[in-house]
Amino acid sequence: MEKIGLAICHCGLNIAGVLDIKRIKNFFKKDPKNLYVFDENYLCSDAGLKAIDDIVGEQKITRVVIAACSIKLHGDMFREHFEKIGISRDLVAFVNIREQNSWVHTKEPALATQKAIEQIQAKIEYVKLLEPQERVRVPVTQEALVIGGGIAGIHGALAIANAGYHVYLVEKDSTIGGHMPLFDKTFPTMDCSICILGPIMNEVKEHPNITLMTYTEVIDVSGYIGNFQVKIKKKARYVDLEKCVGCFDLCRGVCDVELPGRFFPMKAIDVKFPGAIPLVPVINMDYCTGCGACELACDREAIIYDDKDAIEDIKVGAILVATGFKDFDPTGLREYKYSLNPNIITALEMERMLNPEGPTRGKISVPSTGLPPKKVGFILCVGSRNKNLNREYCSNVCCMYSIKQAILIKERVPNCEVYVFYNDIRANFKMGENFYNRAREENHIHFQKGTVSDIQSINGEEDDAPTIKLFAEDTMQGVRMEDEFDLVVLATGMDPPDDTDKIANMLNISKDPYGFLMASHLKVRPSQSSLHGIYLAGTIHGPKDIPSSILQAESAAVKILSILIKKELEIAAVKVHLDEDKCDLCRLCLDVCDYQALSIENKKIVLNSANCLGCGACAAMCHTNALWIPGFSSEQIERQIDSYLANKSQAPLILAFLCNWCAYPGADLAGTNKIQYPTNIRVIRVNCAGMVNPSWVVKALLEGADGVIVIGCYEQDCHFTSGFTKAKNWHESTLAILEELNIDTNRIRLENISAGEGKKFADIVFEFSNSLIKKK
Amino acid sequence: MEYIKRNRIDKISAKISEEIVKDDLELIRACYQCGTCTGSCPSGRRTALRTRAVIRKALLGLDQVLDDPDIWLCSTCYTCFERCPRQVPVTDIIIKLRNLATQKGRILAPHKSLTHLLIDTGHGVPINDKKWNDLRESYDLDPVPPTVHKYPSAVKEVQTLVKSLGFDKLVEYKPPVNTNSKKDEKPEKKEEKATRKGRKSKIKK
Repeated sequence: MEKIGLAICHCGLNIAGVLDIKRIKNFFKKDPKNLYVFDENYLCSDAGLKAIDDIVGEQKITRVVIAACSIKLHGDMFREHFEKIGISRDLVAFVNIREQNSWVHTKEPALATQKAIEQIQAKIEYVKLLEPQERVRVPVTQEALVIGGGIAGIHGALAIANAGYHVYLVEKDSTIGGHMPLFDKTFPTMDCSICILGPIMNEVKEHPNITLMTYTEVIDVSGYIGNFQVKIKKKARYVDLEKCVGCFDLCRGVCDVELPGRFFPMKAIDVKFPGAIPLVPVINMDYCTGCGACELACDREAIIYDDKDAIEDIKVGAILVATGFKDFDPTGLREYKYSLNPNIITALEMERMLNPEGPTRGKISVPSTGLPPKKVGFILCVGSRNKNLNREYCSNVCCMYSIKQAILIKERVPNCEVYVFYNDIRANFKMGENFYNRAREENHIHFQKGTVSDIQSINGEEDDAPTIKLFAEDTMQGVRMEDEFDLVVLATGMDPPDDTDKIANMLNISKDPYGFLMASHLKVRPSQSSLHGIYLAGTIHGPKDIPSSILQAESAAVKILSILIKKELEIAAVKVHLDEDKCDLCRLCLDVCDYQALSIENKKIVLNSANCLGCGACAAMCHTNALWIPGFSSEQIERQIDSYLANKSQAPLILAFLCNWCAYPGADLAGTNKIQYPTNIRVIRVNCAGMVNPSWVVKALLEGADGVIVIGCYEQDCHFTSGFTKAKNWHESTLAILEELNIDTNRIRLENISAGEGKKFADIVFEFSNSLIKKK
Repeated sequence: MEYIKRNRIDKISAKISEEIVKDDLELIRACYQCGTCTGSCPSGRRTALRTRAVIRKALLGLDQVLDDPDIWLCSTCYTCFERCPRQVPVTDIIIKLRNLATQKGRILAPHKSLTHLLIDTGHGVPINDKKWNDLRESYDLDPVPPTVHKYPSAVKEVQTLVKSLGFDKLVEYKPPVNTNSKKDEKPEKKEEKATRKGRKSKIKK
């Protein structure tokens, strides 16, 4: 006989501090024959799991409902545990009473408790319908791909390669190294940047387990954990990697074409910096005039003018994304007059000026005069902590690198006065505070509290340099300040690189609201992306310093090794199933599938499971319910709808279908950030917004839901490429059905959020709820 | 003893006046006191207005911010709002503070006399002297502008409006004793001059 165990977690006070656990327990005690309810302080703890083991044994429990945190957090852990004690992992259902209840309804404990009861009721109905699924074992390609050859990618690749596994390191630039070789020194140790990086770059080049591919881009990725197929494009370099010996002065010496860029002087054929790995130049065909001088000059015949892009396919088991950052461009901040005055430069440009390999050979000078500066001002937080620019994050490093640059300037031009205009000094990281103190005490750097609000750039007579006047408030004294400086450094923050959207779409992983890639959990899975088998490291995950990037890369490498070390992986195949008896051969499913997973042979629908991604769009089209995705079948979803609406306790009541990839984690994020929203929403998780059958929506409205909302990913971010586009079509059809039924079409909504937009989720719930109230 | 100043907060309270926050001005809480507003304030270049300090005082709920002459020095150019990295509606908050101060009768004397002129003539700055008439004529304009100056009966409407709102009491308006307006204007002008001086000395502090 089936008996359901309901385990309620207090999560300390995280859940029990808001929800009345006793009331919930009493409510479900009524039917002890079929349902055994128990609670634990921390279900996920050792004691909690032990209690589960004991109760499952004593009570002969066969199916389980866990009312605790989000399925996204400990779902896998609980499932594995039940598998061990003899309950199939597929017979476990999860009720999210933390991220989507207690954390977001803190001020309404009574309503929240009622919501929790209704959530649990729905899942009890749901768990009764679950069935154990087949597991498939898939072989693992025991190789890894690292995208991006900056300091994070290099360390990630080395860690994997040193463990004995083969790594492809793909870098889109002509050399590895990323931003770090452009710096002179690094904070807080004042180590020479290239001195510590150079040997590591060499190690990468020489490593037998690393295939280094520079000037190469990833253009397509398909597959899943253990089995990714990757298409890469080796861009035409116009210089033969094998023949070139890296003398580069011969070809560069004869080239007449200078590329624009004051601080990055390069010719049409050039290497990025003298320590480049590989030390092989590339020709920039946007500027090359084709004069042929370099071809004549090269005694190795390494120049290939008719070089072509080459496409290559590789297979890997796991991917590390370490594509770094882009320096914030301050041109848009008009008050800072960047690009209007040559003596207002960004920190990265100052870094080039400080670098002995840079355009000034390490000499610090005012660009317009070439003379050493007398008074230098640093402006912090440029392009970070700014709501107007949608960059609310702290750059994490601009305080520290400004202090570093200030010290270096002071060392090289001792008579120069250096002022750092700051709002808050964040001397993060190990030894950071000592570094800050040293700058004031030993290097006599002056720290001025108050953000510079305006720069006046006044052009002098012909030969005179334009003067720079800074306006600010000394907020300590509450006195206005305006003074002239001859060199101003804008301490710019970090932006995600331009092609991040492309990479995120290609890999199907989530971005945060600022465009950086998002970890699957901010705290406990810092290097894991939203998709199994893909990991993140370095500044593509958010602004951070060099040691933190390395830490994250090596953490990701360990995760990747844990995959590569296995020859086979057991994965839950979320794929479509077919009940042939029910199929009436309407063939609507055939058109909707984008993956050739369905075909028709001998007057029968045939499944090609290998091609199926499990989006469920075909099931949404199937009017006989012959097609279904395990866990998300019509019956399983409809039973939850019935339960929610039979127990309806609030009006207006919103029923929400949240996609598993963006919307559900987005709603969880609202919880993690404790962003409050009304209690009158009941959530049903679906695998894709495209699987939401219009009949579910109509059914919900007819049964008493006041509003129904379907939330999916942004169209271009869809995990299944076209899921949201299909959801839009279904939405249109649903609107038409409602019109025929004479139901107000404003009662249904289709929205999209990313996994990083917790606030937007809360806003949508508020707004939709209010609009429904107005209607009443 | 003149060197000993007692300038301290006796009771710290982060209770922002509910009245300030009411009309979508909750964003005041986003302020992180960077001073961008003060630095970009064109009025502050000439006066003692420290926009950041005004916001700070309002955030601490200090009642005295309503007595602060600084809130009247803003020219509402909105530069601070445009540059504020936290999207704090600085100018709107200052306007709100002015309204609150006015409602509590804490309006500065020069502004008060300005409102008296408005009630008397329908113009904050009347432009019906000979000087203005001549100037307008030199531009081929009607010497009297088509405002209450041209339609004196409309002044009554202004006064009715002001009275029904209770604004006259708020600004301590006393109707002139006789209809000869010239006599009335004189003492007002004097008062205005006196207060201007008073303000200057405050700024010097």
